[in-house]
Amino acid sequence: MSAPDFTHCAEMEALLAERASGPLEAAEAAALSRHLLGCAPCQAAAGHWETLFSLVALAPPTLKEEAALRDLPARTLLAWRLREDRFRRLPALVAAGLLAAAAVVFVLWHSPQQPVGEPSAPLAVAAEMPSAAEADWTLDGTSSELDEVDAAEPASEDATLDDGLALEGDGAFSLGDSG
Amino acid sequence: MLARAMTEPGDAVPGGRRAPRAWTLITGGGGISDEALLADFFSGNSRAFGELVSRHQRLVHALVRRYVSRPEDAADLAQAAFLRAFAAVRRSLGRQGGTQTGLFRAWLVRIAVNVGKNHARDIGRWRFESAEVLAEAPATGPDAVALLERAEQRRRVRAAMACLSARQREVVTLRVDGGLAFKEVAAALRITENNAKVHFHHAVRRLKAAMEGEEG
Repeated sequence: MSAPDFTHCAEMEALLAERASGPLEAAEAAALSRHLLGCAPCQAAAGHWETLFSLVALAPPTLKEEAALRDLPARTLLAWRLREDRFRRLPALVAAGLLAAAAVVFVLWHSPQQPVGEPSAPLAVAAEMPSAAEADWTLDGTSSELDEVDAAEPASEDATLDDGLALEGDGAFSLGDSG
Repeated sequence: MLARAMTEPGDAVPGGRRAPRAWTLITGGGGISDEALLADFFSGNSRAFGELVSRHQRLVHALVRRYVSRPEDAADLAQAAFLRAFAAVRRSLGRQGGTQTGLFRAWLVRIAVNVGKNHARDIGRWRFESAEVLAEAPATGPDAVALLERAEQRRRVRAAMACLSARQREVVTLRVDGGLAFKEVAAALRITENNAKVHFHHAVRRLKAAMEGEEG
């Protein structure tokens, strides 16, 4: 029996950790195995490294995970086919979208134009509004100032308007006595 | 092609420790390469797709489950990783007319890690594993003390994992969860193999110290 060779223990320490965590190159694995045959301290160290990596490793897959793994090839193939189908239809969908957009642009471009100068309905309404000079009040400030006034002066329950309309207590409009 | 296969370790080890995992490098020739299966699939054979997924699903699942909080999410993430890898390969085929040998697995690993990291970022969680499960185990009987000691060790290692840099943690988990060679770890993280080993040894020194109670 050959004498234990302790001269390479320091070098082997790194290989012990590597071997406990995963594969080694063939030459390294062979050298380590030869060394371990005659080196009890390194055999003990190998055990420590194995313990360490067993603490780092995840628990084995559960039954549920194993079942999911069994189905993985079939479900991945199905997902791939669905994805391919989507990609195949994509050019047609894009073309249809572009056609629809072109049709909308065409319709808008060729729709009859409104003659310039003809007043629109909102403008006509605005023309009927009393001017600031005709009204009893003027707005020379900002809307926030008006809000402040509104907040400071609660409206009376029966406010009478200039044009003969009266706002009664129940909030309903009624025609005043104009005659 | 260089394919890697793990020979299952002998599980029964005195003292309850895991047996050293035995790994062998198998040179291609016996089986169909990933690239041949990909070409077969893209020419219309859907069985090649299933074969490819079956071949790598445990690796991808192992890589992504570190990042999920619910077990069912791991299968969803694995599926997403496969779909992205297939799409990436098809783009590569379109551009170059072929894929490099071993490229699919390398892409798959990198994509799986990125899918997992994105998911973890979205949910703000990184899984340190089931210390809780162990702690919930009934602490009675002759093994109670040993169980409690192991739970305490696990707690310390878990805390030390949380204190590692992100890169160190990634190297360790790719190695432990995926059983990847340092060359593959380096490719997945876009670092050199030497850099991957340096990160690994810095990390495991701290983890070992934590396990032995030398660090808080």
